[in-house]
Amino acid sequence: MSNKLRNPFSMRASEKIESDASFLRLFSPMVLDALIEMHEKGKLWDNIVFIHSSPGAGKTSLLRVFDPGSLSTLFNNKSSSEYKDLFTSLKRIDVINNESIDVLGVTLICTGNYEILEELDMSSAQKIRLFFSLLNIKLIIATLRSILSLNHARFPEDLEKIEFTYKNPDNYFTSLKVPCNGKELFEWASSIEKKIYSIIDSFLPEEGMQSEGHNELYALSVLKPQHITYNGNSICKRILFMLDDTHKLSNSQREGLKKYVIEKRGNFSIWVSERLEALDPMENLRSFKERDYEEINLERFWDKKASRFENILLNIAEKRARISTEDIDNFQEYIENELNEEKYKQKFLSSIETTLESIHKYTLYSNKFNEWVQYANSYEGSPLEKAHLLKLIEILIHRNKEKNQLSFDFPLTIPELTDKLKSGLDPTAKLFLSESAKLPYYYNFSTLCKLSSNNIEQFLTFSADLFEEMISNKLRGNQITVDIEKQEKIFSKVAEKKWRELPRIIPYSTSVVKFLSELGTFSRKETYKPNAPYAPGVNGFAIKPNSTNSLFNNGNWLNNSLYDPLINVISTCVAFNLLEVKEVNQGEKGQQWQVFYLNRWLCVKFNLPLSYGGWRHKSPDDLLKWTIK
Amino acid sequence: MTKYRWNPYVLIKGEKTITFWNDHFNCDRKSRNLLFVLGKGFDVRMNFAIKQITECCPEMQMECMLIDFEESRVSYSHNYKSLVDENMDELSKIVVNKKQLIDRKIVLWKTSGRKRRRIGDRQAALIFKDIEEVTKFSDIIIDISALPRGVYFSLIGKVLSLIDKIEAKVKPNLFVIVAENAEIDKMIIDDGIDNDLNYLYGFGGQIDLSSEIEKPIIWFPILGEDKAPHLSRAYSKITETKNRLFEICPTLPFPSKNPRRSEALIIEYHKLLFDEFGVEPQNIMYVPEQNPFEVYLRLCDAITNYNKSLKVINGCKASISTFSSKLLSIGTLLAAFELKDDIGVGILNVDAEGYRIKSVEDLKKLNEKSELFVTWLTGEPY
Repeated sequence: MSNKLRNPFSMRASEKIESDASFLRLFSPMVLDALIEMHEKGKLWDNIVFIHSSPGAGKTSLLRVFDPGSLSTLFNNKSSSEYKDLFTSLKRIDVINNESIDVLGVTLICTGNYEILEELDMSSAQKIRLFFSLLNIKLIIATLRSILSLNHARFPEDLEKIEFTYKNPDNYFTSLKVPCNGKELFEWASSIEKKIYSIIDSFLPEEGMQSEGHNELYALSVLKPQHITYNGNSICKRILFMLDDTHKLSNSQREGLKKYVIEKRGNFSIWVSERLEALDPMENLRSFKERDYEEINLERFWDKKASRFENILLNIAEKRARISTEDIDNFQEYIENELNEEKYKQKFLSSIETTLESIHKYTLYSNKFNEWVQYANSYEGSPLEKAHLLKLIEILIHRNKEKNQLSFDFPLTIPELTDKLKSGLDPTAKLFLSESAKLPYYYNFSTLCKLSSNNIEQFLTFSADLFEEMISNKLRGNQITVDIEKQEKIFSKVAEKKWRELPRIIPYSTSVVKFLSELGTFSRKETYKPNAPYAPGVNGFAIKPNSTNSLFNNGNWLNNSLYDPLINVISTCVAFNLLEVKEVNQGEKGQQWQVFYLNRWLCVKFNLPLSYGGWRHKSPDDLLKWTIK
Repeated sequence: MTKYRWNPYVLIKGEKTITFWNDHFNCDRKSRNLLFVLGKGFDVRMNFAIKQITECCPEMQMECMLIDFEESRVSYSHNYKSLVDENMDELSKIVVNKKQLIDRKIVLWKTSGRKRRRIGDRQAALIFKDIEEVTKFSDIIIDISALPRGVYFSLIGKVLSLIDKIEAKVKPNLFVIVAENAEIDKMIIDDGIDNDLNYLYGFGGQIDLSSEIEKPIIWFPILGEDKAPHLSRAYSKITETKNRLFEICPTLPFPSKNPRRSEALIIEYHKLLFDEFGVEPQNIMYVPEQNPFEVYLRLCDAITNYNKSLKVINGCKASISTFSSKLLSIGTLLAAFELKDDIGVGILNVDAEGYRIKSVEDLKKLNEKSELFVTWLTGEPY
């Protein structure tokens, strides 16, 4: 495959096909901060760490950093400025130093045949034994491969250079004579693996098709640096087992694995990476602080580092643009950043006129706002500034009018107005102005980054269509730059396409689509109230059980099967990254709420602002109604 | 000529099927007893074949096995219960004697806690447990017209395996038949496609063996219309192992009734195939739209050739996905069945939770244009 692509933003699975060098160049060491923090508390090594996120948020990329290939590349380029930060971060957690790589990363993807074991005609205990047996075998094979990779050795020729010196004091190995060399260990493990796969996949039971099982994940205990050498030398100081996609295991397998590694923690270093959908739906709805293990949630991690994330996206975008065959070697530069005021002048002027009319009608029988209106009329800013100011005044007038308190109708003064103008209503006025004057609202690179909802795949989906437009512009001999109107059209088109695809690609699709439509409509209604009570707008909810007046006592709704449809819908939304979960402190004694925000592409679908912070309480009963046809 | 098992092959289609049933079942009626297997579903083609056969051979000894597959509780297909009832009414008029009708229920999903997994393929394979269940019939017809792919692949694979186990010279005739109608296929849209994919039971091809990940995967997606999300999901499965080499050979239907169909498919999937997946244009393959045996032969040739060329790195594994008609899927099934143990060929299926029909009325009208295809897989000709 050529290294250059027509539209590199469309390229999928880059983490799998990129070279280690280019992968590391794109990787931001910032995500390792969470690991550094754990290391400082002594909780990173000889422990179990769960890594959670929605699909596409970077779990697999994080694990890839610890692959022998990546670590070797980094070690060989440790002085390069491109890798310096990453090298320093990994040094801080004792993975690498100037002299050696100290960690052997062993990755195991838990897809494939594990879950199918549940369907075999055998007892539950036998199934778990077979599951542990398969995990042990795969861990052994993966470890042998990692050792060769770390030593730049050839597979399978150099397996013989590995010595496995474990003396079998616990009798884990019954059909293999240990100590042995790597080749013998590999051949033994692969024959067992093949036997298990035959048991799983054969239409007919075949004689002699029984495989030994194990009650223990002994591989984690026997695969230790002190038991393995390569060419007579120690392989590393520490082995890190990384189990990826464990959400694909069955419930009992996942529970069995979790129970085992938590019970035995301290004896090995293991990271378990899984999507949020893996968690029991109840777990998705419960605060992560209640869990009894170390956890990194990648989306929540990036929440706190939005500007840094934008830099990473910019970096990715520029690198992708550079490998295009179409000679468009920049991305951000070709995305128009601001409204062209002259182009939209007429729209601003008509907005000024209609807003003044609206204010006039609303204040017809009161002189309370006369000074404010006079101030706006005599304002000498540009049409855009004046249209914006009038929208602000309109909101403030509505707010004042809708206050229930008794007050005298004394005219409000200009200092009172200027004071209120500082109350952070600008984004709302911009939104209202865009809506009423039909001006583009979703445009520029920063908006594109917000649209990604901390998800690189989502960023690439929107960027691919923008880049396609750049290619078309160039082909037509026009300016490559995508103007803001076109940008908004592209964003809306992509969001619409994603929306249309939803029923085809998610479970519980009818209920999920109904729920999201209701949430979108509700959010719009709340956002566009003339007094903008929840500025800059509503695009999320928190679940607050009704204490009274409820048909059912929904205080304990999570354990009530009546609410199963709601739990399934919300869990699906979280798992498929349609709702983003954020922890918010609000109310008495800083009470913590889990707020479920619409993914930012859904905000485009429903014409909502892209900011966070605007959410409403909803009862389980109300939300349940949204799921019903 | 004899390089592959089904070469030469027996394929009967269209109006010739009527003559064929007459010749086959009426000439020595007494020595034949037929098991007719069909699916219970909303597809208007459900009774197309059984109706034709019973009209041709009304005196024939026949048992009819109805596979009643239970879909997920939230499947959109439940909205078409009235169509299922209509089909069942029609069937009860075709198979009048209730004793002739065997009802086999299978579930497609298993729920554990709040998690679900597909088990329809394994359940389907359990319908026939041992050799005696196939040897008691002289002829077995499996009509896949109203059966989902997630069911009939493993069902047919199991029956073929059982027949292959029979030591006697005379083996039952196994026919896999389908009422083909591309227009009806276009009207039935998948709803809620599976997220986590796996190879179908019996067709794993030992592709996921961690001891053999250095063998590249050659993926043959057989393309049909409106399947972009399916292709994306399958692609994610193919590329899930980092650093594992893979090659994609998009397979297009040509010759086809609409001679421009292949071009239309290339236009539809251009971005996906060439920009997202990075497919090399020279990898595109063509298979005849209406001949599953030719599909089988070309796939077998391509897979064998790839394996031979890649011998220097221990060969390859192959994965086949059908996003096209059920008729073509028979060819993929045969190719995978033949090569699954020698080379390691898997069937990667992207199933859906349920289906939506664009227009029920049009669906019924279109059924008149359905065409029956009969593939003869074991027994007298072989």
